[in-house]
Amino acid sequence: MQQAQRHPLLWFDWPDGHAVYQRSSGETHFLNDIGGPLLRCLSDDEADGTGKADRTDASRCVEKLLAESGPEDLSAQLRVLLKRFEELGLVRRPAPR
Amino acid sequence: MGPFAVRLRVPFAPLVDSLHLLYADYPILEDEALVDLHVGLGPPNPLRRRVKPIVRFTIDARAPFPDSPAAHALPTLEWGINWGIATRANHLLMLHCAAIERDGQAVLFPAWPGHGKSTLCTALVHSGWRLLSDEFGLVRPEDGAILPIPRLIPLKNESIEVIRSFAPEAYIGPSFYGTRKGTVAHVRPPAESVERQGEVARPGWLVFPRWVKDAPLTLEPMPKAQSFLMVATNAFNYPVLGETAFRLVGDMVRTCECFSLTYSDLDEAVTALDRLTRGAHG
Repeated sequence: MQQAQRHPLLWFDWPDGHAVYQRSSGETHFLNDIGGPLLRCLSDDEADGTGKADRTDASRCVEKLLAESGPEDLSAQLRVLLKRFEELGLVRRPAPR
Repeated sequence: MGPFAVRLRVPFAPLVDSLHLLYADYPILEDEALVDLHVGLGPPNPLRRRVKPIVRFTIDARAPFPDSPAAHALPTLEWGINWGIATRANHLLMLHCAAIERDGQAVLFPAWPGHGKSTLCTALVHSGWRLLSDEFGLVRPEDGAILPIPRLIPLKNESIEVIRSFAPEAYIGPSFYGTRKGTVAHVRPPAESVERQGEVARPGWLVFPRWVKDAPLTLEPMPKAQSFLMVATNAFNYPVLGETAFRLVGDMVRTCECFSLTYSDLDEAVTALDRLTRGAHG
């Protein structure tokens, strides 16, 4: 018998932010309207292993970040966010192919 | 006391009289009852009684705190019982908040010390609401219901006279001066709240109060993620319960209406909360 895999993250989503429970650490994280959709896209992708997660929200937040920060800051801000997610064990860097 | 059976051993005559008055409405347990907390308070050494009277709080035969002046025996006992509950009752999610009930629905008031939670709670329970708790929002993990624990309400400093004036019918025990929280006096819970301490309530509103001197009353919706953050960080045992606490707090915030309340006048605050909650029932 195969046991259903539990998603490593639990979510509550609201217009003013996102609360995320990380099962592996027992930590609760609070994310804004940029970090929330980005993490959801990355973690869904990782959890189902198909690489086909819906990236609509993530695209929207990247567009928003782009509008607010300009292209120079965008990659720097995303790098900081992704590094933090990785440090916290919320996402994993894909193995090199 | 609510869901907890507490055995008190108090070989200290002055305190016994106060306890009989303030705990007059609580049921006395049978001898064979299972007890959750074994609590004691009394002089640690009879020889010291005449020199510098002190009392020692014990719980399950251990003394977790330094001895206190005997003149502060009642506040010491009350703080000790709260500490015992807060550190042991991890089968429940324990929010740090006052809670009142009407028509089966609870209003929870999560607040930091000094934000006027106890004063507001005392005013409301003398204005037609049932006291669930002044200190603990006890959330049952199975269904998110709020369990009553109607304990004595400790008023501090100016709040004592404010409540004497607002609710002259309130029974307020003796004042204790110079405690670590200033002057403290305890309000006896209304008898009906104690009689109904077995009746749970559904959380209906989360109201984050703040007393600000001379401030006009404001009662404004509080964003949900912010409400979640405030409730979770204000809970006694959120990290202990982990995923269970996350789900309970999230579901509570999702289903409750959330507001921030700033007030300086108790009558205005009571009226505003009455309107808010009556509106929900049409």
